Amino acid sequence: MSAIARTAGAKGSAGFQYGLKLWALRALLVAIIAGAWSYAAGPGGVADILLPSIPQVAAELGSLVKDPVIWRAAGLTLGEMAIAFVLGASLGIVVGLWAGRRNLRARVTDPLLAWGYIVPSVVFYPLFLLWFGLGSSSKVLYAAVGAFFPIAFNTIRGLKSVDPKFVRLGKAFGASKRQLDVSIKLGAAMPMVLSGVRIGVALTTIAVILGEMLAASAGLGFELAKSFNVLQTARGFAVMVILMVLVGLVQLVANRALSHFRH
Amino acid sequence: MNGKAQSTAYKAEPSAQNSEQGGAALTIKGVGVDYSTAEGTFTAVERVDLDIAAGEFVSIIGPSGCGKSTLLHSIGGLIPPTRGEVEFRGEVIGEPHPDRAAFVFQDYSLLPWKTTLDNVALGLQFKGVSKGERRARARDLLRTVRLEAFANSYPAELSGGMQQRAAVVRALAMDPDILLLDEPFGALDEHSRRQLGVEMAELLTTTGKILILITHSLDEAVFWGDRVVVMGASPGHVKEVMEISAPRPRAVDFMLTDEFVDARRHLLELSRHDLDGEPEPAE
Repeated sequence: MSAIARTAGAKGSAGFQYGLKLWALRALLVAIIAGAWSYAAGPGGVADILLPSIPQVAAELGSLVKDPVIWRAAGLTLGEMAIAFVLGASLGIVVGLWAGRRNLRARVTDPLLAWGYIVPSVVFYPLFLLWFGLGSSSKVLYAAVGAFFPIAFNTIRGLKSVDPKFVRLGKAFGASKRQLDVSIKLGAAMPMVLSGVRIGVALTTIAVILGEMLAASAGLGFELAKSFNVLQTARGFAVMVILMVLVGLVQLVANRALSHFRH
Repeated sequence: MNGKAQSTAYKAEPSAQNSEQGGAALTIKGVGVDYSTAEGTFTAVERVDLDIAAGEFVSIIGPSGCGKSTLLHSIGGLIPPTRGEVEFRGEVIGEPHPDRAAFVFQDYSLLPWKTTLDNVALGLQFKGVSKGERRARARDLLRTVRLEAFANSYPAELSGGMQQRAAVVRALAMDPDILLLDEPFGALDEHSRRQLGVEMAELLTTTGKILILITHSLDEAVFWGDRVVVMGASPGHVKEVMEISAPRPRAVDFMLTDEFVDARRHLLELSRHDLDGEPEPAE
């Protein structure tokens, strides 16, 4: 209890000063990066086509956010991410629970899932393009694979590493086999499942963007690749900024949603 | 064997139910447990015979590896005995039945992802008691051990002693006939251990339940038990059963009486004699 009291106390003036310092240093870091960028892109520096200046990127960004094409692209990319994640995560959890329930199943599937997790899933992408074409479905399915493996793998690993004392406790208090699975084993495996989900979210966003960049006719990844291909570098930078904000928002929403599960 | 009437505040049990076993409610009949390991069969408990009367408290003490925890798990139905059987009022205990025998396990046996309240209500949840009812009952029980303010806290926010108090009322929530305590205070420092021990012994005495306590502490064994069963190792067997006649609930002062000191000395000598070299981990 004293630890809690101490943490609360630290939120006083000392904590405020520390926070101020923290943010000042962060601002300084950003300023250094911006300064180096401005210097490099400045007079006598790198050509615009390689490194546009900050005002140029800002101007591009300003016109892009007014462009309905970009909003449609962002909507498409976000939609692909959402569908891919839901698909991959649900399948990953279902397969993970199914396999993790029985030792034999877990041992049979574990190496395969570990392998699927370790191999960069981009190697499957050409296959998805061949099967499902250049449209959204190839991106969605490819990204779903990216989400599936870490989630399935972590779910099995979580179920396999449940502390036997929790299982014994459940049995002692009269849990049925089903109650043991749901209330004890899944509860104990939850932190591991959630970390799999977190990795799944990250891999989904990467896979969708990469998929669009490599071969697509729409989406922010496509816009990004196109801008650089035609040497509209400032536009490319602006799309990059949009993507960074978008992925940041996706992560934020995912983290918020996942933190509810803990309790 | 232990048909003597305890003069303290036990709930009087109907004698008709006891008569069959000559006063014993819980009968441990020739119980032995073998484990099969890679090297072959290992006998954890050779043979234990013990009759326990309604409302009786029995402490079991012995060196590490004497099979006392295994015996306790067998009594509660968690480990099926290889030989013999455990009967409660003439009925064989096979599977775990928390309504009949509920466990209090060693340190940190609360589920870390559930609140204290839901941990206490765990057995009721498995039994299918509705959420509202089981939480209400758990809340009442938490009040008896002064933990009502921590109902919605998670175990990690509780001290070791508070966690074990919650573990005790989790067992009480099942209203079992038998309480099985497996070194429940083993992880606590000596001071809180004694304090909590005295408090819990008093609380549990008022319930009139049979209680079996596994402990490493000679003090705890003598303080809690109407009888102290001393077990020896390799393979596990009962060496001696010692009666402690002082009425329960016992106050801390009991530890200063001749009976306590003599009993404790006797146990210490017993453990010294045949441990050859292995230090008794008491206290």
